[in-house]
Amino acid sequence: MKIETLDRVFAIFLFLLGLGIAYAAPSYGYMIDGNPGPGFFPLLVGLAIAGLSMVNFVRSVTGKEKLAQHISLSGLIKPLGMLVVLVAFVFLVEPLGMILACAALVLTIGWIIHPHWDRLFAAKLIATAVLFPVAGELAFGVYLGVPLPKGLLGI
Amino acid sequence: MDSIVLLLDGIGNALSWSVLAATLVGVLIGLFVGVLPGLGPAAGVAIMLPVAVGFGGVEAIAGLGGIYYGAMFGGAVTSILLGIPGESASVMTVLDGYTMAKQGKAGEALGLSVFSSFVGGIFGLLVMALLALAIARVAIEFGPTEMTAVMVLAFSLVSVLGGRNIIKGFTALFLGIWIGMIGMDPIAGPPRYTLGSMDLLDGIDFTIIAVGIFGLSEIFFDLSEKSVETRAPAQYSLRSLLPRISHMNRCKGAVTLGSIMGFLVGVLPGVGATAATMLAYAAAKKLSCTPDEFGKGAMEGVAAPEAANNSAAYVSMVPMFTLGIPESATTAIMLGGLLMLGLQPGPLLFANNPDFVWTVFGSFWIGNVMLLFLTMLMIPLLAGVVFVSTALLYPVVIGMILFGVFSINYSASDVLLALGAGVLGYLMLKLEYSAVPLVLGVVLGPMLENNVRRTLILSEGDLSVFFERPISLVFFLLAASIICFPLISKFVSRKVRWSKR
Repeated sequence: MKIETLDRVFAIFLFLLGLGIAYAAPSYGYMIDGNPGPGFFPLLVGLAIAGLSMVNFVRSVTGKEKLAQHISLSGLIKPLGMLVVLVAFVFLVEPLGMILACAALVLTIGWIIHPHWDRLFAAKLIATAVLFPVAGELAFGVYLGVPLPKGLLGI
Repeated sequence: MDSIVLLLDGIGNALSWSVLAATLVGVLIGLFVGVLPGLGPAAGVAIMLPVAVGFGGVEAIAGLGGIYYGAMFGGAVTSILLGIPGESASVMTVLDGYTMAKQGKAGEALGLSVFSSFVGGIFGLLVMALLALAIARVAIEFGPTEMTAVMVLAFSLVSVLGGRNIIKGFTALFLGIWIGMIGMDPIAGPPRYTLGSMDLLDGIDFTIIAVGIFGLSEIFFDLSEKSVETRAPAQYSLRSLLPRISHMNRCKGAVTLGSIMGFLVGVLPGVGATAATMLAYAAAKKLSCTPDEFGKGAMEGVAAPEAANNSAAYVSMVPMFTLGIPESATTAIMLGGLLMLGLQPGPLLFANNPDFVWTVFGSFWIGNVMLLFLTMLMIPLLAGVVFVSTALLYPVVIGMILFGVFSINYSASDVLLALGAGVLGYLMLKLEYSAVPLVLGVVLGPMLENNVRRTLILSEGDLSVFFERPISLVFFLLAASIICFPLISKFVSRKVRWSKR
């Protein structure tokens, strides 16, 4: 996908979002007793997002908006991999507990960023995966008293 | 004179162990954040926001401020040793600092940068203390009408903060205002745009947005842009890292010029520390007896921009504290931090919470002194951080984000919201939508809505009330001129181009 195509898709998405915001606004009450109600600002904001996004779309289609950035599938692999790991973390944190889930996250993200493991790097990453979640538990769980998830194993 | 007495009291209060510890941790993190090329002060402050707020009050803002100006100090280290600016305000330091390092004068350049940063910081702090009280005394008369005008003025800054494309800047602003509206309406009460979720009734916490937009998106962007590898360490002698008095003496003019330039540019809305360093460098070169040396390893070429960026960093906090107007991404996040602590930035902050304000200012002063010694002691370690593989660094940074976000509402679903904000931030970076207007919208949007609705309820729907009061009229005119000036200058330059054809 070209960056220009992504720019247009994003503009259309924001246009539709703006229309959706404006459409829902009157249901909250546009005016109450002659004064602006809870739907007054959302209506204006929704219309502004839709209008400005349409201008962005037209500028992109007519070639007035020139982007310096590029986008490639190979460049997206690592961020997408990290995104998948973070979503998995959200679902695994309750059964595994914060310490184990965080350790697994550190190991997996380290591997995604640097997939060619040598012994030294592996040792450093494993040490980080062990020490960091424990430090986090001490700072947040013990010192700040945050009730971090303990998981099925109770750790 | 009042300001000086209050500042001295603040410094005394900031000497408590908890504030000292928060300031120390803040400046240490800031130094490391400044050294890392991928993360700027805004990302550093955003990532640490949920952690800092957990400690509450003065400690939180002292720590966040420490990260901000610590990053300004740290940014110079990689600029000089590796020719890679740690953050945008260190770009000008590369020109002469890196050249000096290649000439075997890395120690001299680093010593000068620390000295200049310290002097610039002290100057900025002094101006900050003097200006803040004066502005706050005038602004204390502000009612909802004037506050509406101030918010509109803040939003008009999108035309300068909004990046290359103003339309995209305003799109991001309105998107931010909408995000700020999600949750219960503060005046009438019905839930808005919550999609039936109980978690969204209280709205989306600002920290979650900031962490995603500035922290996660930067990491996604960094990983998508380059292959991750470690760099070969630069060679320099540890003994050479000490500054010399003769060098400080030689650069005193450039340091003074940089400090003044930092103040003048830093106090202007939306211009920022980077522009201050560029102007300071240009002015130092213009006034130098040996302008030809600039770019070839001139000491003044390091001293002027470093003094300017630290002076500007402190001065740019004046509008944030006194009027509630953030001038940069970093101050916008700090503004959010103040709101999360239940403090309303603006003139009343000085009247209602003087101990808080002056202790925070005092902690900034102490932080600046701490940085003078810490930077000198830690330069070898800081330089070493650059060589740590991002494959080890980023998992730890992400882990910190997760612990911090979870601790806000004790909810794993907040992590999903932060991820959503991270993806949005990544797309905005790629498609050149500035994230600063979005953050402005999230923070100031609900305040604008409340003030407008309250004013209209009081005036029974009469819009003319906004233009009848002189202070609000001045702010509206300022806002109009800020928005119109770039449009008019663009129109004029286009007309000149047409007439030439």
